Amino acid sequence: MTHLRLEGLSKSFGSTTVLDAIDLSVGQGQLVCLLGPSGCGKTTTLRLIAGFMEPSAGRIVVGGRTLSEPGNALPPERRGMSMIFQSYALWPHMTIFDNVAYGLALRKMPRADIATRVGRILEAVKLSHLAERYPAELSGGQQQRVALARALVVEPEILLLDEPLSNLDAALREEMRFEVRRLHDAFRYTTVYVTHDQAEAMTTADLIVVMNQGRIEQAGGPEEIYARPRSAFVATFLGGANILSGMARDAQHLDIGAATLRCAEAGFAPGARGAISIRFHEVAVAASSADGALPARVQRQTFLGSTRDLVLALADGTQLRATAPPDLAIPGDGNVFVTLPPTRCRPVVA
Amino acid sequence: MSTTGQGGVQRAGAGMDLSGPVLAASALFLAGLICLPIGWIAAFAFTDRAGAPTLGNFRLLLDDPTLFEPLMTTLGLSCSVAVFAALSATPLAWLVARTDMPGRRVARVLMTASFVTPPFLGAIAWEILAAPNSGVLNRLWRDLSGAEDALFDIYSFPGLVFVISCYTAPYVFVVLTNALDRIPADLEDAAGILGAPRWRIVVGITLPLALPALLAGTAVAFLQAMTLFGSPAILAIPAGFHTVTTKIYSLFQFPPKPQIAAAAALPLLLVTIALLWLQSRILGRRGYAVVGGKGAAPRLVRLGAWRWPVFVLVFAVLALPLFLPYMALLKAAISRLPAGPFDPANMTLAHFSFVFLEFSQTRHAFANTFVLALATATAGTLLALVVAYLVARRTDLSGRALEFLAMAPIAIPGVVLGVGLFLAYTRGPVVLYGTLWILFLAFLTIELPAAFQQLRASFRGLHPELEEASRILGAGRLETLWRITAPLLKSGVIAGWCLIFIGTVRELSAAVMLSSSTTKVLSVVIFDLNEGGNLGAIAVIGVAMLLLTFAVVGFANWITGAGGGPRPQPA
Repeated sequence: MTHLRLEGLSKSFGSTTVLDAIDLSVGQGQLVCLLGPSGCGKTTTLRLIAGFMEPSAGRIVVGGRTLSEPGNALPPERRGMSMIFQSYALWPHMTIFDNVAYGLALRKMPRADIATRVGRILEAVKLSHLAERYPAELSGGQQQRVALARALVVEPEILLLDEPLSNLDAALREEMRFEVRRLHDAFRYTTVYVTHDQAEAMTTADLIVVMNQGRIEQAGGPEEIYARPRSAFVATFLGGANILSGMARDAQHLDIGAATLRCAEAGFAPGARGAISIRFHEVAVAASSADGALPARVQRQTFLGSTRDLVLALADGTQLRATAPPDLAIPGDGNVFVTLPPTRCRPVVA
Repeated sequence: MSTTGQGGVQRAGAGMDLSGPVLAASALFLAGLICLPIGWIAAFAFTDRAGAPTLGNFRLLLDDPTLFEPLMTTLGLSCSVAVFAALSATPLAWLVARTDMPGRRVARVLMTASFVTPPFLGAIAWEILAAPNSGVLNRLWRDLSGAEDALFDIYSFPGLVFVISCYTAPYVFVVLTNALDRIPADLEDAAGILGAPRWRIVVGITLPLALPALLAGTAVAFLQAMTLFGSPAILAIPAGFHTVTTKIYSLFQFPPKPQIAAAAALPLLLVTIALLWLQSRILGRRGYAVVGGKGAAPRLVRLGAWRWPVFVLVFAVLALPLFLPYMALLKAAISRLPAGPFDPANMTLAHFSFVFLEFSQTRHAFANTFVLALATATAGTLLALVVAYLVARRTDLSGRALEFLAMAPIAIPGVVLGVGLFLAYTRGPVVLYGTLWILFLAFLTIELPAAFQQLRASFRGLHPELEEASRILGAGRLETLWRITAPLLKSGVIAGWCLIFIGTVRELSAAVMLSSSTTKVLSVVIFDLNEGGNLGAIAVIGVAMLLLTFAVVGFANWITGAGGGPRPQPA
């Protein structure tokens, strides 16, 4: 059941269009990740949903009720949402307890109830022992969890997260990814999560929305998007891939110069230019020739422990990256053979 | 379903739309504060008595030696003070910021504290100390050496340079110590590891890195010396020469020559603008000044055997702006003869009874000063708060323009503003001369930039997300302002308020032009008493004035800090 719907949502600043007519439906209790490089419009989308901005065109509908449209937007405090900010935005003049209790106090809840609920949520984020501290006395990860608790305790209709983990160090970031997912599984709020980190999106999201230049490139489940990227941008941004472009012979065959590649699925317009994406680990590399294999030279190889990262050049110089098993023996002259399996070659929009 | 017809729906940005009119009103008000006096100065400078356009005022300025000599004197004075202040402040700043000199924290606080001393009070204190005949130090010298001549005549050009330097060197000192504090140790270590001896690191790395700050501080010292009115009026006029500021003042004495005064005020304004522009250019080049760079905390140079000799030297230097003048003032307050011997026969409470019981002007002046300082501090803080908020939340051109307007008064010397406001409000349509309002406007204009800078910095530390977090959790605009923004800005607001209060109490150069017999403020009363040679009464008023300042500032901090101060913001 659709809970949050964006209809033709656009935002322009002067003559610059930041967000260009995006449509999106988010189901009740779903966690959707807006993923994209900086400047793609993901944060603008989030701020529009929160009500910090008014759309230039389009609508934002929650539970059948229009919250935002041009010239008419409900202020953020009346949306029943909560948000986690990149800077955490913990109020330095309040204790952890007061920070978390703030939203409940605004709802005129009795003191005893506030104490119970704050106690419960601090328990959930494992911070009960720090309730009387001030934000400046906490580590980054602890501040992050306070921000989570403060947003969750008001039982928001929609939870918004704006790059919540980008200020943490790598190890903590990985831990917090699972934390976010765990809390979402526990509370099941409809959640919009903005990030530029694909691992974060893969770990946390039910639905990933890849954005680029103010538009949605592709939306789908993590596995679906990874397995079937629709465009070269999605393939490279999410997981990384070789993009090989050339002239389409027919719906399934693409001439990339060094060879003609076959895709298992049809996707080209015959006679037009087209592109294929294939993941690094899907390129099969062997020391000896096999049926349908293309000769290639190893230009650079990096041993990474569990894998071997190769940069290869096909006969016409086309470069290809491959992730090979670490025990692959590469001949001294660097000549190898690569196979691009048709089931792994996917037609994409260049 | 659309919400247009629903009762509870507001236009988002209804509050945001308000910022447009507020911005326009603030901009208009600020522009009026600045343009009105400056416009009148320009109008007078380029017209003759009959009101016809002319360049004659400027020609007179160059041709008449009684007008031209003050210009040259001011130039010489400013240059001398700048050099003297830089030369004395640089070693002090280095010793305090970069060495293990004993008592360096105390020295730093004391040096900063000499800011609180109004320069004219310092000048009067040095009269008590070093007037050729009656000066305490000169009498001591005669008694000890048996010499006939005075050791030091404060009523002279060198005397004036010395006294002004005493109270401008702290500007250089503060800017320089801040810069030295921020030069990371690894930059010096990098030279050390290449084999540079310690003195070469200081001369070759540390000081060049602090050079922009030194230049900027020196520019401020130059400006201070150029625009100061009190010290030259007290020391130069008895010595028989004028500076530009005292000359402008005398041009308003009978018979008044406002056209020429206006013409003489313009060069002051232009030089100030040029120097401030230069200063912002120097400080604006980041990377060179290493401001805010990461890296290890500065390492202190060990002075070894020199520690205590250096300590004695530094505190001897601090005696000049602080210990000696304050001792002189305190002694003058309770002595029949300021320079007389320190024995019971010379002691008296007459000055206290004169000031507080007999001399009617004092009570008025205390009341005027107090009311003006409270009103200016409160109105100025509110204005600065609104402007700083708009500037912080508007990144477009209108915000920048407003910022410029709020900072512009910093380029208007007090004397120039005094002239401008005098010209603007002694004739219709609005005659404010003779009321406290004209002083209020002058003080508000003069003190606004400092409070604005303070609050702008506070707003910069206040991430917009802190307010947004409150909004999304259900607090409206006003509630957010009250519960989040205001508490976080509290310390900045108090600091801004105190800055204005202190600045207003000690202002003389505009006040002396603008106060009339019923609207005298303390600084003007002190100035008048000095012309009558009543040093004991001055000492009493001066000390009372400082006590009043400390009391009010202390009270402001206490009353607003009672509810638990804001915590430091996380990095």
